[in-house]
Amino acid sequence: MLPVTKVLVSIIVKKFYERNAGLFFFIFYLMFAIVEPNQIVGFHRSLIYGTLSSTVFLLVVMGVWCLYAIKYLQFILVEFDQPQNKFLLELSKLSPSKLFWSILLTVTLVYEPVLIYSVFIVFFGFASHHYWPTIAVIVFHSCILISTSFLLARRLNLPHEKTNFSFFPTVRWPWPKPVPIFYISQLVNQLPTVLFFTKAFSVFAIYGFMQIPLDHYEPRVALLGLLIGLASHSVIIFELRKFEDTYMRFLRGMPISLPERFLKMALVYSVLLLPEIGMLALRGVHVLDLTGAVVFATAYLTLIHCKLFQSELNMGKHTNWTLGLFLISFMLVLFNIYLIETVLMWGLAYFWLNRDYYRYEI
Amino acid sequence: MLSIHKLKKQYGSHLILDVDLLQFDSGLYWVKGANGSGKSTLLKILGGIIPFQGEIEIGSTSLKKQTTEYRRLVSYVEAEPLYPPFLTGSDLISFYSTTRNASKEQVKELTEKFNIQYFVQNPIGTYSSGMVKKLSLVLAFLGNPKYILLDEPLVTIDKDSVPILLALVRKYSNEGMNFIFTSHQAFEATGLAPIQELEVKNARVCFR
Repeated sequence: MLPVTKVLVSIIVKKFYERNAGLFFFIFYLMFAIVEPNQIVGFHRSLIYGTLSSTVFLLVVMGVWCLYAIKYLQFILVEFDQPQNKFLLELSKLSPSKLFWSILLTVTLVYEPVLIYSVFIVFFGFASHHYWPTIAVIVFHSCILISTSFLLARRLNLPHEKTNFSFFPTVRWPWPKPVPIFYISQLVNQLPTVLFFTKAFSVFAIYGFMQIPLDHYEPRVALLGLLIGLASHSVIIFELRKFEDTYMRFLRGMPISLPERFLKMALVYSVLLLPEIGMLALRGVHVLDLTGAVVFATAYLTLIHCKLFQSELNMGKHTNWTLGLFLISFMLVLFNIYLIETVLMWGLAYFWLNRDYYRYEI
Repeated sequence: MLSIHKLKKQYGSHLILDVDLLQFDSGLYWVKGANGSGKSTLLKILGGIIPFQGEIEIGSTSLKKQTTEYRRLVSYVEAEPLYPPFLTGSDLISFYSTTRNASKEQVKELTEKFNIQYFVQNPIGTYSSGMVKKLSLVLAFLGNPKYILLDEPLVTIDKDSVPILLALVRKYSNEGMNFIFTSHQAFEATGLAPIQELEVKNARVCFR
């Protein structure tokens, strides 16, 4: 292995799998553990057959792969921006082709779980003479790998582009800025890529879940989609806490009461949830359910933020905790008792903030 | 009067401050000590920035029991302050003015005194460290705090700004504000008097 690839594997690939171990476990559980052992082969054969024989199903599966690609792209871009990884900019001194191949190999390793399953799809596709969908799968994966590698190589070659590049229009706020605007501005100005991909993933997750055909109105489907979107916010919450510890230290010395601080934090997250609220409203979620979903989602994100005042920031612990909360919430939504969870989350979030905010060592 | 009772501060197993009783009456105080002795930690504690064991009060207002009220009475500036780089100096001045009820006249006076009106509309990310320091000093004076805590106030500001800062300290001190500084520079030479000296050594804080 080339020294460059070695570094990229240890910084990006290993870390990606460590961070997402819980998610992989969850997917593995859904794909293999809930099926009877003697039916696993038949189940996956049917799944692959369905993917290859229905264009709509194939598009849905490709959508899921797209979400995975967005997830790893977001992860790698955040890692590139970490101060301890700034030395990776040295890679731009490699020839363009060398840099591209190193990144392509890294991205391929991160994309491996999808590729392994796709090998079976391709094998089954050719064996069952579904040539066109099989070729579509191969072309799709090639496009994902090449385009993300190209984008990442470009980021390393042109790091200065980041400051001029934004998915969001610059809006000058004409009045004195309230605290929530500080946080939103941090995301819009400093982490536009992370914000864009998180929001795209989140909105797409809701849209995808709401495509599931049902013969009656069921708000839990929308909530499950929303929940997957919320889980993808863990990086944003972590980054906002880091921002608080680095640039907002002065805020701690300001004469602002804890209830006010709590409300401001909740306001930040409710503003961040506007795209999801829009998507839920557009997909016809009833007003009462929509209100419940917003209160639930804001409590969910605020709780995670408050949890991060308990000890020194640690991404590994944070990921494990958010995954745990996601799994519990997933079950509670399935069993339709998420309203009780909402009340508990609000209570716990305020309790933690009240107990830990001034105890936290900056 | 600002009083400290049974203060203890540890970083891991390292005891950094152990103060049984210490009282700051009105006036100017200069906290001295070697690097790592705990001067900045003391100011951060008094500013309500970091946790500690013990009790701190201004009059009858306790930092632990009346957290918001206490914070209204103190203003703390770090030695090397950091602010969100995308905000402008004006954004922060407006924010501080709102939370500390500072008047427009005071904002005008301070921005003009420190000569920051020329760049205060620009994002803080474009400032030099000296410009950030001047902004932080303006923020420290805003409102009507009883105690202003300045950690290394003379560091990074240019020579011309030092007499401006000292004149402001004199003026606000005459109006009843109290100051606690930490500094490695000699305050005797600044003509700022009378100033009471304290030393942080072996986790203790003593008047000299």
